[in-house]
Amino acid sequence: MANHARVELIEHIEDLEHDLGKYMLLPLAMLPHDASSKMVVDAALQGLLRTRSHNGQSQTALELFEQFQRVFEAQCEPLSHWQSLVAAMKVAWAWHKKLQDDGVVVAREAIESDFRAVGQAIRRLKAEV
Amino acid sequence: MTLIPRLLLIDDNNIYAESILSHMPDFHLLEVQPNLHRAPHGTAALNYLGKHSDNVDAILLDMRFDVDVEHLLPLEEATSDRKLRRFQGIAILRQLKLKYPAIPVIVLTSMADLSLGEVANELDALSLTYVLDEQNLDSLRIRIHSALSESYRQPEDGEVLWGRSLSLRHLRRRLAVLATGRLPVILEGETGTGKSFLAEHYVHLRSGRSGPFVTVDLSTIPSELVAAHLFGAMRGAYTGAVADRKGVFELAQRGTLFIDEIQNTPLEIQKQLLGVLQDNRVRPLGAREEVPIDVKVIVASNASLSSAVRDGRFRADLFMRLSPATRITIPPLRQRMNDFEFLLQRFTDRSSQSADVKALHQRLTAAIGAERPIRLVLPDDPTAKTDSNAHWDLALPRPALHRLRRHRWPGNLRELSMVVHNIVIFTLVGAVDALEAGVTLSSHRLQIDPGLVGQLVGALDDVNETEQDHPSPGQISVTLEPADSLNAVSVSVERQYFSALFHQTGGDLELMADRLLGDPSRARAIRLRLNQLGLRIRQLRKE
Repeated sequence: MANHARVELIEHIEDLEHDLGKYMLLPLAMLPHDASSKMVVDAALQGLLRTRSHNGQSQTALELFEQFQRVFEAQCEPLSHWQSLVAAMKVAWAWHKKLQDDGVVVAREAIESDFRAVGQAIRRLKAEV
Repeated sequence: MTLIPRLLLIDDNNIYAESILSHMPDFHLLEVQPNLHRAPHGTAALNYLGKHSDNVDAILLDMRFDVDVEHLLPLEEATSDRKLRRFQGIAILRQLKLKYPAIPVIVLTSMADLSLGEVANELDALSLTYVLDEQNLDSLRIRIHSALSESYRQPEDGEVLWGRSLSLRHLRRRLAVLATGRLPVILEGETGTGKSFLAEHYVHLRSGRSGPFVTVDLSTIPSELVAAHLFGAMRGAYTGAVADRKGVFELAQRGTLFIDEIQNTPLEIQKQLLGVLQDNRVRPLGAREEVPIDVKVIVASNASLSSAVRDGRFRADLFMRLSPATRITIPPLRQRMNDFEFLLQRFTDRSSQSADVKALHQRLTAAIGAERPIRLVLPDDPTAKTDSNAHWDLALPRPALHRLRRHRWPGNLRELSMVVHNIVIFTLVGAVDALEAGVTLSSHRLQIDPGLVGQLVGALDDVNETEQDHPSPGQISVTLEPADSLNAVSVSVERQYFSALFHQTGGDLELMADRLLGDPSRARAIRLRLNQLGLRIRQLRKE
């Protein structure tokens, strides 16, 4: 990979790290320990569905990830940590459907762990680049 | 203490604001614009701080700002708009440290999240700057508390320098630096501002020196005995010297010597003092040998030493040897009115620990059969409703608070301490008398009598007026200058008056409104008039 392409890729991975690694998890992480199930669901959905806001427009975590994927998938495909990021993202995004089901048992720790795994996967990918 | 720390959040995103407002009632998030509890970018934050920096206890700062370019502060290292946005927090942080170095800043990011490698050293090197490594509520709370505890004085520092105003924070930081150096320190300040307390607790105890803290007040020593007192004397050196005596320089060996009222030193002694400071040796009266000394010297004066030099009452060479660069001026209470409520509560807490208040407190406890600590409740105190059954609340009505704020406090903290103690005592005595007479109190809220407050400060006003033979600190002088029209003269006078009153009230617009319009809530009218007169608040604060 040419150096300028590598630098550009790192910059975009860092953007992804900021949007998904930080803001997907933050609403949930900033809840008190004794937060109610409804608060946990609302915060997790906020992290997934309104992950990045700018000028009154918001984007979901999936949109942000797919945006990155469209541009950089070819460069990332040969990297060993790319598939683990794709998998982590899939697991995290799956929560948005589960959380909107009535009667879902909310496991805050499990959600946080799945969201955190995305950030960790992004950082591993960046390190590999 | 019941005051809630006030936080300024600089963040383009709403998540932290929502979380703090919802889940952290122990902090007060400042409203930068109506219904907006954050500054969305650096420009908005600096505008807010330009007007309200004294209201800010700590700043929470995001790192990345996805805002329009016109709102971004420049950053030399940023080679693209993308980088400028990503490291915008650094640009803001540099401005904050330049203009408001005493306000702690917590950076809401982690080194790992944003690859801040290139600026990590800079963040580490900036004092009162913290990085929030773990993005969660507990970590944020702990980080804020640790930042505040480092920026405020610790409890053992006492009430003298307690306060949140920027001037006090700057002063504390300067003292901390001077405490460790070898240079003498000059403390200037009116009576009652706490110079000796400050010298002992803030300079000596932080100096790392192993010797004692020795204090000498030159205003209390007959002039013919000053030399013996300072430098020591051998037996028979003067009439009445029946034994060898050590001077205070020797007594303070390897410690600190605090010379109070230095401006009263006779001129001939000043010359000897200069020699001692230059040579670090002292020769007791009548002695043949000099004694080497290792003493940190702090001198205090309740008047300006540079004025005394100009008037010929103080030697210029001694003044220069005392290192005027290390001169610290402690502001009088009337110039730190932003701290007034804070100090009222500190003094109430201290008063409740005194023996006479404890005795009254015990009688109250015996009458109701339950132990409840005493606390002062100010008007509009957001904590007043919490734990109201767990305390004896001494409620200060608004008119009484205004009366206290209007007073000029020429005796400064000493005077305020006395007044608060009397308020506590008289209010408790009233409650004890009522209970012991069989009256049932409907609540544990004891209303402080505004009449009592008026009497206490009114009596002090009387004393001050009769004892003063010079213009009172409350007086304002203006200069009448020839002008083309009566209107121009009037504007000139008004400008001078507003400017002087601004400084006299410590820039407290509410207090100015109270004095000029009889209504502290009309501070906006004062701000408007200042603008109309062409007086810029930021500039006035710098003067």
